[in-house]
Amino acid sequence: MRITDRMLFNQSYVNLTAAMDRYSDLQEQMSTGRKINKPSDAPGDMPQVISYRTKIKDIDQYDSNIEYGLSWLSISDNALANVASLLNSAKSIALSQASATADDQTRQSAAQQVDSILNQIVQLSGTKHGNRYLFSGHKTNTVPFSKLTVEGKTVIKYNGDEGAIYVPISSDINVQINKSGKDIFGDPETTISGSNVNATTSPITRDTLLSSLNSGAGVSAGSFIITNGNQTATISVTATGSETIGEVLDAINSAGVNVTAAINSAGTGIDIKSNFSGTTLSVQDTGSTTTAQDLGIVGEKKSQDVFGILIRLKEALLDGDTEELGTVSGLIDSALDEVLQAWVDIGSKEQRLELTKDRLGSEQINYSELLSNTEDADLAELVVNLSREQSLYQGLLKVTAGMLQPSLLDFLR
Amino acid sequence: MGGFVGLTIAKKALIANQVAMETIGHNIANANTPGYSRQRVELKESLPDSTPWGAKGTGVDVDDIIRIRDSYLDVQLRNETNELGMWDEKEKFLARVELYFNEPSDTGLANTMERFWNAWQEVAYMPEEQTSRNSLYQDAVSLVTGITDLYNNLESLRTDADTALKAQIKKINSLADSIASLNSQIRYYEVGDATANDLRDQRDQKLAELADLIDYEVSEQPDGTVIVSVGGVNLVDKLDTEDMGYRYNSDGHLDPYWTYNNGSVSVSSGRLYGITNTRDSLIPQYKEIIDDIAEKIISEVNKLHTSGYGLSAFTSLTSQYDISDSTAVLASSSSGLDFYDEIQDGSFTMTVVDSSGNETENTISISASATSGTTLNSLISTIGSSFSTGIAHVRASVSSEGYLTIESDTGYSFYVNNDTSNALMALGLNVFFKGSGADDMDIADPIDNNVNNIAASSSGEVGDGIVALNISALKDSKLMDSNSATITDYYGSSLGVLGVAKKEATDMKNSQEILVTHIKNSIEEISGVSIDEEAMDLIKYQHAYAAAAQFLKTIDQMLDELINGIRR
Repeated sequence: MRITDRMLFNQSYVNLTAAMDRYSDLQEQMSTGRKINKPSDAPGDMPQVISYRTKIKDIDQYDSNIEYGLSWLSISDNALANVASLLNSAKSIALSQASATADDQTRQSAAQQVDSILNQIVQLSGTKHGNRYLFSGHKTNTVPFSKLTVEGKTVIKYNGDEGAIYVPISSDINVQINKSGKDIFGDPETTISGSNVNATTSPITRDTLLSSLNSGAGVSAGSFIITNGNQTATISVTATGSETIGEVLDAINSAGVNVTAAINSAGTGIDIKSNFSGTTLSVQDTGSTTTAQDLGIVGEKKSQDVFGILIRLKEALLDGDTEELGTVSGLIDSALDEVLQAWVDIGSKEQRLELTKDRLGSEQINYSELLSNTEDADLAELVVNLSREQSLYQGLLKVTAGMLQPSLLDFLR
Repeated sequence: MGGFVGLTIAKKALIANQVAMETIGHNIANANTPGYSRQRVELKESLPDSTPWGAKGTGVDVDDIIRIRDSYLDVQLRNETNELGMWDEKEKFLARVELYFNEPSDTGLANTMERFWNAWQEVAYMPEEQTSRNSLYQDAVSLVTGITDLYNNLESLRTDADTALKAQIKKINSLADSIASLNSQIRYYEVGDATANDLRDQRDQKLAELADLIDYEVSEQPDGTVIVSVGGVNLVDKLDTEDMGYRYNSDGHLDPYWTYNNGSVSVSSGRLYGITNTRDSLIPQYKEIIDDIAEKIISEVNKLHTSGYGLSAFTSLTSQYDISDSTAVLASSSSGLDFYDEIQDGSFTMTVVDSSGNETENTISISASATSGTTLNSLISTIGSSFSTGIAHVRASVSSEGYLTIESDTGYSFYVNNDTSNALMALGLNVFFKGSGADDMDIADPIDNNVNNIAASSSGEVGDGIVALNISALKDSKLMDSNSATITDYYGSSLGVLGVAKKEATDMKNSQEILVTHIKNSIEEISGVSIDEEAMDLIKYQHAYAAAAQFLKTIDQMLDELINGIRR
């Protein structure tokens, strides 16, 4: 084979650039610590690399979601613990004041205590996380329960709703971290659920004629009295045949006694709801007329939620009504049960989040390890390769330098 | 004749050896000239004299000066250079595509998208907090910037390809001119019996350079010229050339064409093809991926977003998409809406709020019927073009650019949401993004102005983040590839496709490079100048020259003796 000078130079050039190429590639791996620095480094691994990387990001996010959930739950936890202990004291007051040893004197001061318990629970129900009320449902900027005085009577109004606040803790699990005031303290809005009005056309609407009720027998003319706590109103109904349910509902709602009348969800009757807790709601016909009865709304309901019970307790103490004291202490038991149930629920959610947090921690490690196995350079191997390439390159340089060997010309002198 | 024959022999020997030595000088001088083939002097005995004693030699003649070249290797070199040029261009451009994608890294699109989805989670459980809304806004801006930058960078890469194409076409034309002019010189020199060695070397060199740029057929003519044919058109036809030009195609990019008949240039290899192929089919493929992702994110986020309530109601709201024909059915393409095909039969709610917070809910039905469906005009008349007509206390109007604006009376405000028809999404009312793809994607104006307009709430209550929760769940929804992959999966596997293409280009380029080097070495082995060899020849001819000179001297002495020694 003929070997010319230029072949030698060309070959050395090719060898040197190739060696430099490999060297710079290894150096990039060394400086980033990763063997995959661009998609073409390992095209087959790209989907996994991207997936691991986003999983790790997601876990960071779930972790911070859980932190938020835990702080929310632990504040709820504390508030409910206090509510439970306050209810316990209310119960012992009810029991002790129902006994024969109690008298008006002791009941008066006990009433004071119950009032203070009521205030404290109202305050606890307004516990906040940051600027957000815990127990208002979605109405986090509104205090859930407010204490009002209507016609000289203490009542409690619920301002929240039942909206759920969720915290995502994995790609398909969202945990509800809040409990609405209704869930914990019972429904503050006492409702008289009307009976079936047997309309000829069902379901009934606002436009249904009163004359079509009771299988077409209609509603007899007359008036009925709605009492809500200390507020009373008389509603009159005529029977010309053109009156509608809507007119009756509007008449009740605008009577100024803080009740809301509406057609029930099944469309079979009318529900009347007190807007407050702590009142007794009643609907009665006047005299011998049967208007309310025909409308299916006759009845009397007392508040059974935590606040209503405490208000009833206080009133019973002031009135010296020992029978009511007995009833109320029984009701406190079931209310306490509900609060405890909510409390346990929150506790178990805390535990669940803690467990998830631990699991995410180890998942984080797993994914990091998987990512590292796919993406990271093996440092030991890299160092060995790097030093091998280095000595190879130096060897090449030496050979190239030695290429300017004497030619025959040097000897032709 | 007699004694003078010796003088002639000596003279011819001196000339032959001198020519040989001069050729050695020429070889050494061109040892490093690209494309140079070593030359050799072909010597032959002169015609003998017939004498009574037999045929007597009359010395040496220079028969020819030939170049040592294997033309088959030239063909091989051209073919492989061709491929090398193509893969080199592909590799260069794909390397930049990879650079722009910047994956895997903490700043690539995969990470930006994930941050965007995760930001919705925080809004889901802290919807009334300004911090969570602001960080969502920031992450959304990063997402939009990430997507549009990547898309625009890929497009600018295509413009760079145009610039490269212009330069290549210039080079092709100039090479064609050189080859034609070499053709003319070679024909001139070779009229007789001679071979225009050096000119042929130069032409081979130019042909090799041309092979780097385009693929062509070359055929040598009896008169020594060549015809270079590119896709059936003679780029070089002996002494003539056809000029290649460039012009804009329908895509807004440059394509080569033949200026003499406006025909398109058909190439299938070489740098020119590498550039156009990368520009027209490889890069658009990656642009398409980004565009698909952008369109999906815009439409899916907006569909959910239009179901929600912001923290405050609107007093004035302008659509983010324009309508070209307000009498056309919204759900038809003639409406001009980008997302017209998403509209279906259904309705949305317009809730009017008075100054004391009382809400009046109005349901607006939307029909997608091709013949009697809702048009912009019918929608405006439903809402009412004044505060007293249609829905009370709000009015709707359309601007000359085709944007719908809804305004409320003093003291009133309104919400639009609960959209089952996708009309709000298609019009861009109460949406999160505007634009329809990667090139024009942006944050919708109302949200750009005030993050409180992010509609995280499903009920209108401040603590309600259900809509945000639903939007954050989109990241795990299989929205791509006919609902078989999540956006992140789709992106990841697209990167795999890019990686394969780039790796193929690099591998092919490297192996072509090795092949070309190998062929170049084979050519060099045959045609290259070896200094040692030339030095040896030099000694050989120098000795012969010295001997011939000595011979001349001897003849001279002989004649001197004969002429001056024999006196009368």
